[in-house]
Amino acid sequence: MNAMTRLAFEPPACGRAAMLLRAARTATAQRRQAVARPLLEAARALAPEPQDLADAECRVLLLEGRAAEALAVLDAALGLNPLAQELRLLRAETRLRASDPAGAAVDAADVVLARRGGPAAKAVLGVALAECGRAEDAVACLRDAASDTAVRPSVWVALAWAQQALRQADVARATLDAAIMAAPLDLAIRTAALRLALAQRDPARAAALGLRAQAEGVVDAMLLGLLGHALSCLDQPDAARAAYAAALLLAPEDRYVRHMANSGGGAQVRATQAPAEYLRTVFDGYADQFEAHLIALGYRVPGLLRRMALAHARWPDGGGALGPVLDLGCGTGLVAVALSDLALGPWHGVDLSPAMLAHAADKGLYARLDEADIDAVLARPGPRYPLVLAADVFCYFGPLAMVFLGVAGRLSVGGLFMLSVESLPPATPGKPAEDWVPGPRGRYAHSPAYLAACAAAAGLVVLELRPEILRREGDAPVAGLLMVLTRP
Amino acid sequence: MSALLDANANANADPILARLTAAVAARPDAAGPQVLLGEFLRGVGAHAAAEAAYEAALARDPRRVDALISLAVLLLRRLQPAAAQPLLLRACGIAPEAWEAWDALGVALMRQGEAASASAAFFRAHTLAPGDVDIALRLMQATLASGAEEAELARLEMDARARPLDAVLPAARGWLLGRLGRHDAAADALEVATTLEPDHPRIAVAFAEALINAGRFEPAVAALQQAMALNPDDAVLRNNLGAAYNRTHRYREAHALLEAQLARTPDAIDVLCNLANALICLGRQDEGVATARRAAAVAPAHHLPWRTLAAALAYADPVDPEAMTGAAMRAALTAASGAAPWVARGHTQPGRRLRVGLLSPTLRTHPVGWLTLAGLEALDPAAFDLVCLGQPHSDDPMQRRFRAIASEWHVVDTLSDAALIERARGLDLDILLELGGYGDQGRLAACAARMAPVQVKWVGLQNHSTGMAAMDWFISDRWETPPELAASYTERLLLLPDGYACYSPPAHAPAVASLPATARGHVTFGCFNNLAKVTPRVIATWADILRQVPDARLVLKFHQFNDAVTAGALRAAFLAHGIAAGRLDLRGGSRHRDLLAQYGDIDIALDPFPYTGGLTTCEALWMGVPVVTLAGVTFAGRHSTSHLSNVGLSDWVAADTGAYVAMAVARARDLTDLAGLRAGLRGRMAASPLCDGPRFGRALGEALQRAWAAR
Repeated sequence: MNAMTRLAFEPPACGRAAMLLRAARTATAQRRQAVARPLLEAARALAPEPQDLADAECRVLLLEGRAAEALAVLDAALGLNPLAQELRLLRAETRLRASDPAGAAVDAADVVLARRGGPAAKAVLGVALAECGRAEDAVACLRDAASDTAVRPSVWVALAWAQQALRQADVARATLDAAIMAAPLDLAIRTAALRLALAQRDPARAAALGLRAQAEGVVDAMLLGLLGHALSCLDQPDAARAAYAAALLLAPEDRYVRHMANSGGGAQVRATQAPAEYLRTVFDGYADQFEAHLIALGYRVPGLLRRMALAHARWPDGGGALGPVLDLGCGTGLVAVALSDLALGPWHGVDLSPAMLAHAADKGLYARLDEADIDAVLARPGPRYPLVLAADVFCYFGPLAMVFLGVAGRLSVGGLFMLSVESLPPATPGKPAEDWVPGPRGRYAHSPAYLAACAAAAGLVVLELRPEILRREGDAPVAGLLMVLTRP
Repeated sequence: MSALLDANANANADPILARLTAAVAARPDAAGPQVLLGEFLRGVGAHAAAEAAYEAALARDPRRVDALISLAVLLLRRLQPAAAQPLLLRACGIAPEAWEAWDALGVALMRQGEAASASAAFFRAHTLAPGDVDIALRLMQATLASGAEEAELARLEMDARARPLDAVLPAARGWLLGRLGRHDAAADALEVATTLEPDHPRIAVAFAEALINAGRFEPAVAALQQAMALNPDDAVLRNNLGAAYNRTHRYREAHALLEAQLARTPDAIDVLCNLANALICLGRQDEGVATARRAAAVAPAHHLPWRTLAAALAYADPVDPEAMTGAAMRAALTAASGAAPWVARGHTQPGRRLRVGLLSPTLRTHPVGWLTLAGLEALDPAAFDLVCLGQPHSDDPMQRRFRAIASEWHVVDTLSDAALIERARGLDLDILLELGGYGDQGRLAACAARMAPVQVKWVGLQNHSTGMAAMDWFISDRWETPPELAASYTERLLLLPDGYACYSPPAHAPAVASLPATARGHVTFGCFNNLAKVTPRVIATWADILRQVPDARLVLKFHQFNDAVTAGALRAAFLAHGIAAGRLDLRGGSRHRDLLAQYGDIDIALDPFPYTGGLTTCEALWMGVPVVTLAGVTFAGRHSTSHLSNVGLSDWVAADTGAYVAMAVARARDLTDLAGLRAGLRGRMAASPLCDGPRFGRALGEALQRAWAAR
């Protein structure tokens, strides 16, 4: 059999490569990484069309959470073929994922102007513009996209938030009401509607939406948790507990929900830490409003930490930098802003919420940002830091002894560990003093004696431990403790 | 010599044999002619003569690799691995590139229990012949036996990165993962392999099996169809595809395929048993029972036909509890695990928490979960230590609830019965609650050899007595098993003060809708059970009701009605009783929330018989729909009687079909009463013992303590 005859019997390599790429893309759409990656590599070995390979590879990389590498792949492919509009649209989505909404808007606008990509391109453009703060343009794009597509929950949700950003609260509500009508079984829309109501400080509407979703059976643990939150804001503790109890049935291992279900009702099982997944989702939802919200609350912790750093740090002679900083629970980077003029750095931020981290990245102050659990970061071996910060993050932790031990392991000799916690009210006479307790909104408060004990157990020396007002909630001040520790 | 004579007797072989023998005679000192003669003799099955020829060849040239390998392979066939091993070692030394020698050496070593050395030999063979799936699979077996599976998994992954187009590597990985019980990962790896090599028969079969083990039956059907196309004569595949059709509610296709297979292999008991199940699920209960009986007649010493028959008899009309128990007893007697006899524990530390094992493959969102969890969650943790014996961890919300209450979780689904028994006995359980029965990969058979001092049957295909001497207790209640019906159980009855189960209403249940008859002006009856429970007598009874309530409609919602032909057959059955098709609304399966929402269309639920609704009855009640039931004589025949009585609706239980019809007709005529009942039913049920987890937990705890004290 000669080579020509053989070719006639075997599928050409490019045909097989295309088949493998198709299969890889299908597996990616089903979020099955373990199938997608090997098929992609197999296709690559057969040298498929570079554009097809770039498309599939980018999707697999995004599935693997490797957005920066996905961007590099798309940049290279678009360098070779700048007119590949599908790739450009994909890059727009990827840039959104990589917290580059401005770049995403440029790409998506190119695709829209080239009259390619249809409503999907307009939707991406709308979301990108919204993230750039151009709410008006975003609304125009998203409205077009929402009217063109069948029903894409993410488009409705993005449109509503853009309208909310334009202070069109009623319009935003109406958008999600219409979305619920159009897609009554879509959980994402229901959850967004509840969140929007909470963001609009309208817990009554949030509760009504949540109860309706519950009556119609369109619920998950998250939605029921938000319903519980709304009901507790309405001062309906029994109904709130019932909502959390229903949430608990769907997420039995969720310590936060368990704690909320039990709080105020003689907790049998006390949650020791708010769950990572819950914090990530809640803070992702609030990231955009987070700073404004905290500033409105009179949030003082960054400024207080700055004063303590100035007072306690042994600044190098000759104006040199103190060295790297580990910012645990960095959120949107407010503390780094407050300390940005000091000779500190590079900054390493850790937070669970990618949306919060995106805001932190925008500030341009961090050399490294990790989306991770604090426990996990401290458990890994790594460099020592002369300054470790934990501002307003231990309110999501009950016991602190292990965290303190972890920090001690990452602190240089003579280094500083500065933290804030919410403080326990004084113990009722006749009742044993608590080390820490979960509060009514799921935040933990700690006692000064407990903090001192944790520090001693970790071999850290207390330089300062003093009460402070952290912020105001409603008209009430929130009492806290500020602490500075050093490793002798 | 006699073997040679045997070979000579083969008339067709004569001329060739004569020439080969002449060649040997012509060159008596040469090894080559002897090898050729040996190959020929081996080819015609004259193994002893072939061995003699190879030995003769090796006497002339001890370095003849082909003779060494061939002789060793023949010795391996005769189960003489120790004799084969030195020959193969010599072959590997002389020709280190001969993969056949390394492969056969691996086999010789495995047969002598030297798994680690065998693994090394197979690895050499695999390196020399990387495309050979069989060698790769033997390597995996040796790796598994030598306990080096994790290293092998890592090696396979690394090799796959270097050779991404090689289908054998992910195939071997998938196979190994499957043997380790990581079924989802196994299916993923084999999916990669089969995408790379879509036409490889062995890989296609392994992929289909992995999907079945992962419980992914829909894709398993497609994979089995592909595997069958590549292995058209494989009877096992046909049977498995029939079973997969059953699992995906495609009973008519199962029936057609299995009937066709039965024509080829009339005595195949697995085919007969799957066919019996398909027939029952098509509502052809008598044929199903007859087919199961035929399987039992073909292989009376086998377990499978008896368990199939015991399950099938629950659907037969009229039902015979004695016959059910008889079949169950035969199933228990034929459940041979090969386990060592049970040795009772000498002493138990007094006052310690009772270690209670939950044995079930369905500790998840499943009737077992809905009917046990609320009670188990309320068991006093100071008195009971729960140990789950189930499937691998998944993200199923109910499985997560089981995990939250269990102190230990043991994955047993890949264990043989003997291995399961050994594992469970090692757990030092006090009580074993069996929650799987013979269905859905249940492990009831393993209980026959006893795994705990006290064994109790509860929920999980609990249709009647297990007939098992080693099953000490059977959880029931006074409505399920009144004293006059207790005689047909082989277990002692562990009667709970309320119902035998505790229902967890789903968080996603929609609100109760208002009575549909008020708006529509006519009553709608409904049944959301299963066509398997709809016998000819049920159809006749329901037709009678529809005749007496002439404007009423009947909604039947069964998975089987996804198939138009099956739905058509049921319409025809009603037409034979004078009920026009327009009065029936036949609906297929849907998601659970949607199923619950559809109770908004139903005024009164009609229970099937003699196999009544269990969880379905609880769901109807929770959605505000009362259920007319007929009290039967088996455990399965009285589920609804128990649940209705437990919420105070015993006046919805009929004693015979006449009373059943009269009750349905009378209820349909009193819409005011019906609307009032509906409006308050969910609240009433929530407050009743049926949904009272803490009350149930206390009762269950007391019952288990009673069973323990009476051991």
